[in-house]
Amino acid sequence: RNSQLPISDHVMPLDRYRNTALVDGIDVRALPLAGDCPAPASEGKQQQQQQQQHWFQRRLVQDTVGSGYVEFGDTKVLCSVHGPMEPKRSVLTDAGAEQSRAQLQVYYKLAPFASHQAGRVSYLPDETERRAASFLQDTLAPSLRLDRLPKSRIELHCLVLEDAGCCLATAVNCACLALVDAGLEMYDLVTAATVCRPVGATDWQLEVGDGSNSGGSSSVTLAYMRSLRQVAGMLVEAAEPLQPREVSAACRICEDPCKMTHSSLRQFLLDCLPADDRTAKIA
Amino acid sequence: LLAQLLSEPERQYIFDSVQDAVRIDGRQCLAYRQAALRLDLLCYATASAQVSLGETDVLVSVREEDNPGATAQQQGSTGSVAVQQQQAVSHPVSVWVDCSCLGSGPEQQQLADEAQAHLSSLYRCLRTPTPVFVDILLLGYDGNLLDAASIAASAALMRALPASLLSAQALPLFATVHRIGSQQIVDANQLEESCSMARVTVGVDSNGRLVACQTCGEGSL
Repeated sequence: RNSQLPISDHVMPLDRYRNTALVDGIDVRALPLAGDCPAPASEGKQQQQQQQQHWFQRRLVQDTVGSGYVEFGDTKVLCSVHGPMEPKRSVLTDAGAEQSRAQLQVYYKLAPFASHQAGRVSYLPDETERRAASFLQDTLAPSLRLDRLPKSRIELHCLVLEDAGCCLATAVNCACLALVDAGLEMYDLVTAATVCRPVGATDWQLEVGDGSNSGGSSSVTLAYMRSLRQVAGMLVEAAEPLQPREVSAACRICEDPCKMTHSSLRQFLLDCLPADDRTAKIA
Repeated sequence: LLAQLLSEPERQYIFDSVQDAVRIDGRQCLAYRQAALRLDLLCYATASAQVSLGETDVLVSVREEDNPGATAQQQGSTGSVAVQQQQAVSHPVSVWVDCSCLGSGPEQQQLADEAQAHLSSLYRCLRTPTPVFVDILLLGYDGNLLDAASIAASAALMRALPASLLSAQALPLFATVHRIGSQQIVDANQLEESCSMARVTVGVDSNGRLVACQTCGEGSL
């Protein structure tokens, strides 16, 4: 099947990182983000722009309800959605009120080969991964219409194949794509971006997936719902004490990349529809 | 935990009264409950503290590990060269939260995991010359675990660490603000926590600088 369909001509010829075997993906180039590239040589600038673009694919995993795959620079994240299924029973949830919404369960794991700095990652989820899973759960739950699926459970499995920076924000984007692919109703797409700042520096830099962020810097991750203009989640990891206005400045810087990602994700999803369904798209 | 047995009219009552700036125990929206702090309860710990904030009761013990050989084995390094290198390296504070007094269900475990992640990030900026282990035991829970645990842990760390280390780094505390409808409340008890859609937890040091910040909860802001 894969050999019959041609590789689309807008895939770059020397693109070794793109998963060209799965041809459902459409290459969407996000607009270059203004103000983030340093004053450059032309090759450096082109590479920077390329690093800041997302690559979306859906329907990668065959046996799931929905799945999504996002590459941001070198960071690669794969999400799959299972459900709605039987809810988990616990002693206290026999009361009817608790069953009026679906339970969202997020599992987040780095693949053993995923990390650049840390060497091999163990099979069991560690503290960072558990924290990322609860952050993803708190970020996606406001946007999902869980009240449409009472007495059920939705499982989201998030696997990071390569972590070259900006991993959590890419996971949020990928999880959102997987949930849309699964056909679950949502109020809005949730997109996220991360800015980071090394200890002692003054400017916040957008974190891209090129492995340039070393461990010892402060980072602010913001998950934003563009159409609703609401913040779905925010995580600040400080390597040094920060002034509150620095954190709010970082959140404002995060807003634009979130909006850019929102529009490119939305465009990707619309392009995935068959041509006759496109006229029925939601505004 | 207990709050999952709240009925819908009770939930609505708490929600509506908070919108009118009245909380069910009569506090103001930005008022804390009465807090008590007791120090030096445990003899084998380097320092210990117990905080009770309403019915929330947290016991913290801080232990400094004096034996660098033990940590050399933990990190998998070999020989005595590694031991000498250990003494120059600064260690992060390692935090463990135990919720076993509340029961052994998954909700309790989730509470413990979340608290551990938050408290580890609170003390991320703190570096000590010897490994320091902070063990937090939750004896009673009525909401606002993070604030109480941070008060107790910071108090115990202030007793345990030498003054030279403390003058350079002021120990941080958590402040958690819940959002119920359009009102913000501070120091929510368990019933109010179950009605809140979202919360922001901010770790602040004595100079007013942020050390950690995270939004939680299934609502947006």
